[in-house]
Amino acid sequence: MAHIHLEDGAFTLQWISIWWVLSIVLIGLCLYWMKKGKGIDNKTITIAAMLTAASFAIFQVNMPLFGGVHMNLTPLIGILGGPAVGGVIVLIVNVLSAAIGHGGWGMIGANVLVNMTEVSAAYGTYKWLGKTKVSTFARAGTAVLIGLFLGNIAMIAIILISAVQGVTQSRVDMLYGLSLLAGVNMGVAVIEAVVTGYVVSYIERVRPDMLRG
Amino acid sequence: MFKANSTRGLMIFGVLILVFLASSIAAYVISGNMGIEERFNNAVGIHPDSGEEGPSGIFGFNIEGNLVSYVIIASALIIICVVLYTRTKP
Repeated sequence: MAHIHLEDGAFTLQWISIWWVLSIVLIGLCLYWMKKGKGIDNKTITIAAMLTAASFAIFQVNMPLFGGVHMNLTPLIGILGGPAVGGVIVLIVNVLSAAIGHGGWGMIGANVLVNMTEVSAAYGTYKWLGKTKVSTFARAGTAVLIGLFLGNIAMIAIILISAVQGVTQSRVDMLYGLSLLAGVNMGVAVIEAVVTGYVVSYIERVRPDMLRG
Repeated sequence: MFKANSTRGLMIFGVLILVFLASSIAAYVISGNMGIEERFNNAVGIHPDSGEEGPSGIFGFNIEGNLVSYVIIASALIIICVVLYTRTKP
């Protein structure tokens, strides 16, 4: 849900390269983890494909709320796929999104890092709450809120560190503006939390094998 | 024990929803009604040359980026999912 909506040229080439390299290193670790861990079976590939399709389809839909917002289901990706598979999914979704003109190509690296924060934080929170016997709906919903909140913080940090070319605004003003933007984003996170909570609860009833625990 | 934890978890989730909803309404009131791109540009201090408005879409819902490419890619992904699902169906 947090997504850097800036066009190519907003960041300097140096920062675009740094975020790209970092995201490639992380994706490499995800692939290594997938291979080293349980391996990649057909079920995992099918779930990953479904999550990719769902995330891509919903990510491009601009909803008429707070003037225009969108969801991207990254916490659901984390809960169902885990951080390793999730990392690969968010890379694919970001590349496909850039291909249709939603987000710049140069921003893919930075956006992958933002989305991976959401995926990992949601996965970690969901797993951690599993030890407390909280209901699946509340577990998944809370994981979404925490994941998207941390994703917004990652987005703000990346923009403040990179700085935007051609603007006269100070970093403090930028932090204020981006905090308001993140605040609005969290309104959509509430909707995403309720939707994901119901989806995960439903999956637990009909296909509990799809949930990792 | 299980019931108590379950209720407490739901209550914490409810409190988080209220906190984030209140903060989002406050942020929306302060920043005003804007589209995603406009809100982002405004936050970082970019002033776009033209004030072109995007398509209004259906009931306010619209697709970001090229609609034809979106339909093609989404259809391809759905076909891949169906093929994978039918092959791995237990």
